[in-house]
Amino acid sequence: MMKRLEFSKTILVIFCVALFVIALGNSVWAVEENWDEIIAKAKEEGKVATYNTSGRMAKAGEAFEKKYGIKVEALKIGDAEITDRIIREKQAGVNEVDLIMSEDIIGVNQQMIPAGYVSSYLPSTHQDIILEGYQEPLVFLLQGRTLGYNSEEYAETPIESLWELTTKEWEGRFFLRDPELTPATVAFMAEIVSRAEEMAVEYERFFGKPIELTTPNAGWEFIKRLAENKPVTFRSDGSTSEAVGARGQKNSPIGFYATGKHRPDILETKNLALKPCIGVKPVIGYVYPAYILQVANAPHPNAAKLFTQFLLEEEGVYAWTQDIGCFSTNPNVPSYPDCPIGGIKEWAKVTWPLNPENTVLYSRDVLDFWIRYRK
Amino acid sequence: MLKNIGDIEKMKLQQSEGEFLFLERNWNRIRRIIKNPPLMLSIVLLILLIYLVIAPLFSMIESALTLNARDSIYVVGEQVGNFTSYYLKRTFIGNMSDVLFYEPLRNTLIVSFSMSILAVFIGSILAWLVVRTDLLFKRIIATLAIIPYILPSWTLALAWITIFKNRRLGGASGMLEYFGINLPDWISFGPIPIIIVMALHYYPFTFLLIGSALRCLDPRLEEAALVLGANRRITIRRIIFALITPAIFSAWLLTISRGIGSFAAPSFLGLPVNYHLLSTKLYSNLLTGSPGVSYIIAVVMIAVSSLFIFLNQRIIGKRKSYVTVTGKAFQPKLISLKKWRYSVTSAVIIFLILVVFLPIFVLGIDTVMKVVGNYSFSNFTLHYWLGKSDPNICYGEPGILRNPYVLGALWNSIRLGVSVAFFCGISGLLIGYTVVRLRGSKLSTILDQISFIPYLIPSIAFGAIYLSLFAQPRGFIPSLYGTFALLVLVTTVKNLPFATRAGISGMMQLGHEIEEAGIIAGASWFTRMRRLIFPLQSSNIASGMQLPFITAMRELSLLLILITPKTRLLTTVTFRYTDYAYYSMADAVLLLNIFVVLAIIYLLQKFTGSDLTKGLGGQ
Repeated sequence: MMKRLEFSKTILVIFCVALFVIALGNSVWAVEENWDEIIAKAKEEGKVATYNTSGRMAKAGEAFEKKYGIKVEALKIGDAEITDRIIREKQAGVNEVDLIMSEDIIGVNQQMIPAGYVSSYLPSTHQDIILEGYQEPLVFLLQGRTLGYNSEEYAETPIESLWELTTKEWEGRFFLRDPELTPATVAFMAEIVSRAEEMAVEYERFFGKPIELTTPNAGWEFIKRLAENKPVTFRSDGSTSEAVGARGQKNSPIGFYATGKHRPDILETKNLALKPCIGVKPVIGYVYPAYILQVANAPHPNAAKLFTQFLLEEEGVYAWTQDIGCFSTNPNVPSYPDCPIGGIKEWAKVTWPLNPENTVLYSRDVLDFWIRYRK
Repeated sequence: MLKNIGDIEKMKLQQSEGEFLFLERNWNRIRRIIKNPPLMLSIVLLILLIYLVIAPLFSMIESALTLNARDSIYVVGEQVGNFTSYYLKRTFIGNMSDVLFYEPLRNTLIVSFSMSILAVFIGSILAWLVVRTDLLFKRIIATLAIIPYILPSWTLALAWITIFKNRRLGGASGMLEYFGINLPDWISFGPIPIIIVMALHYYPFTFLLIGSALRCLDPRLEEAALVLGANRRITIRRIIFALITPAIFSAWLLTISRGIGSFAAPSFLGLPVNYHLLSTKLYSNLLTGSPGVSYIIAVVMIAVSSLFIFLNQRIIGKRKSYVTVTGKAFQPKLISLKKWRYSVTSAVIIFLILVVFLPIFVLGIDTVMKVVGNYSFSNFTLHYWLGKSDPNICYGEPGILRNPYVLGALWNSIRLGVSVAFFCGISGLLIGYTVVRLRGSKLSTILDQISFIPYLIPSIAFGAIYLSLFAQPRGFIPSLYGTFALLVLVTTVKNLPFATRAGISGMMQLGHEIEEAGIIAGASWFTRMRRLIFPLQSSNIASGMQLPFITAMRELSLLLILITPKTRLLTTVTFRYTDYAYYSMADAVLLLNIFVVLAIIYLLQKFTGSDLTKGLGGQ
């Protein structure tokens, strides 16, 4: 009897202890993060090392250092390469980088996060602020890539439909950043394939007759015809936009490049005449996410958290949002005021967001298709 | 009985003595190896070379048959890191095989064949004029003729684009277009300009090879023909041409195999019209995260260039039997160009001006034009050289001479060039020494052959292999990724073929007697190396070092994927600037690069009396 009582007592004690531990753990989770502590620890760590796809990370880093005295070592490398490097480093046990900025949808969602090499972190201070759909994995920036034309030759946009790019008139006159180097453009094509019906409707609206298919659907058909229409590819958005916007051209092309290239001061110094093709149906382009992610076993985890928080505020993301067509996922951060396309709400109407599932599903085949039919 | 037992004892004793003798003999053998420095050295070198050359080759083949993480999404039912035939199928039989492999292969063969014929044509005419005729200004012409080989291979490609650019690429107009001349696509881009630009880059190579062969001809054969009553024309055709044919053929094959791995010019001039070679396909497959296909392409490229090298060796082997390379009895009589002397000389000089000075001049103009494509005086600026940071020009990049990013790259490039030259000189000498000292042994042949393998591996593939090999710590070697040491290592190994060729030919000229004298005088091996071999070979080493220095200074495709911002080089900065379309900056950096290389080579030749042509395979 006594024994039994003791036994149940022990059980009870264990139970209580367990409950207490769980409660404690829970309360740690639920409680607001202690930002004073994070800041103090971050300052102790003294620096953040990042891999980033955009050179402007260095500028954001300078602002961060000015505010907190914490140095940011920003290395600019390509999308696929960041994924490659992180995988290689984590497998080798090299822990040098704290934070990555990546636009590689497949690499982030299919490779690095599932393997636990990087993780998404949303600061408690921004939990109710960041736009829905961009919190997990955390996207801090949305950038547009849109169609544009030479505004010296054409008074207004010379095309009104995406399908026009597949016509004889624009043969050899569609310029874009090489899809082989631009995973986001491939993701956009994947989106076109997944929205084949909208593409078919648009075909009929523009040409006045239903589309005749040589491929499984109107999306594939569009990519095939576009590839066959002798598009010209460039290695960067800068060279694409300059090729389109240079003055004194005849038969100037339509370009597909980062919308940020329309900033008036850039146009002035480079002497370019560029305008976005407002009104093109069904969409003028796409908006692609830039993820900001914490690297596993980072040597400076608190500084990385603090820098993440910094990038979600105007002071941090300004390096990008000073450009046309770049938006913070924090709706309180103002975007470029005179964007011809409008604010982020108007953007949502004229662009397609990139759905990661479609990107993963179709990317390989879309790129193969493009390479195979390209002339 | 006793006797018998004694016999057995004796036998046992003899047996153990025999064992002892056997052991001692073996021990002596090992001692002999240890006491034979060339042998020891060759074993050490062999192990190093297997690690640095053979292992990467196998690692590449392994990667081509292993499923990559990104591709695993698309290959159903196979595990990452497991064996797969996915890449083989994709490259050779799938519906992508045409664009991924067969078409680029065809283009590569067309370009390599045509450009090498053109290069041999130019090279042999120049060589003949310089060696065998009374051409004027021979020294200057011979020096200028080599310069295109010293310039980074895309110098001519960039210059070609600046001059011949047409509407295909849109944007700012090319020079000819600016003056109202419209050009069709096939002049501006694609195979024709690639062939011309590559031929102009590689002809110095054939010029030197054929020139040295012409110099080696025994003039007595010609004299004999003349004495027997053959006229000049018949002598040229039946004697000189017959004797020189193997050299021409060999130069042609060597140039083809160089052309197969070429990347920069095809990527600048081919991609705008979607004209792919194997090298550009290899690169784009690496970038799109499908390295398996890249490695298979690399293996094919290695196989094709090996084939041409093999053919070349067969031909050189034959040549020995009927070309007599002996000491010259007397100087060959120079053929008089007579009334053509001045016109031929001026034609040669005009040609050299077109291929050497014009490209540099054209690029120079681009660097002082504020807005690209506007060739009027009001557009003149020195901003790209000297200007302070202006946020409206190239996103605030200051002029290159005050730009820390460029100056850091300059310092890195020089450091790389000097270290690679140093290590190539040393390893070339050591390998040359062991190969010559152990001549006739298997070890010598194997060393000789392994050190030649890097020549066959296309630079881009070589860089990719080293990336995958050295990104992780292996054994006692830490991860070298992102370090300067890795750049030095990979560039040194890639240049070993030239370094060892120079080392071997240098050592061949050095008789064994000198070292024997040292042995008799009681000098240890190290003393012999330090006091005899090194000093005697110093001029050879200096010559052999120049080529690795030049290639390191102009190397792009090998290092492109190994570079981190800290280890940036002038060449990769040029490439990045063209990526961002900062053409004026890119051209300025390229000119700075060319200037530094030429200046250092000039100083080196001035102070060491060395000669670049020796390192290039000339005499």
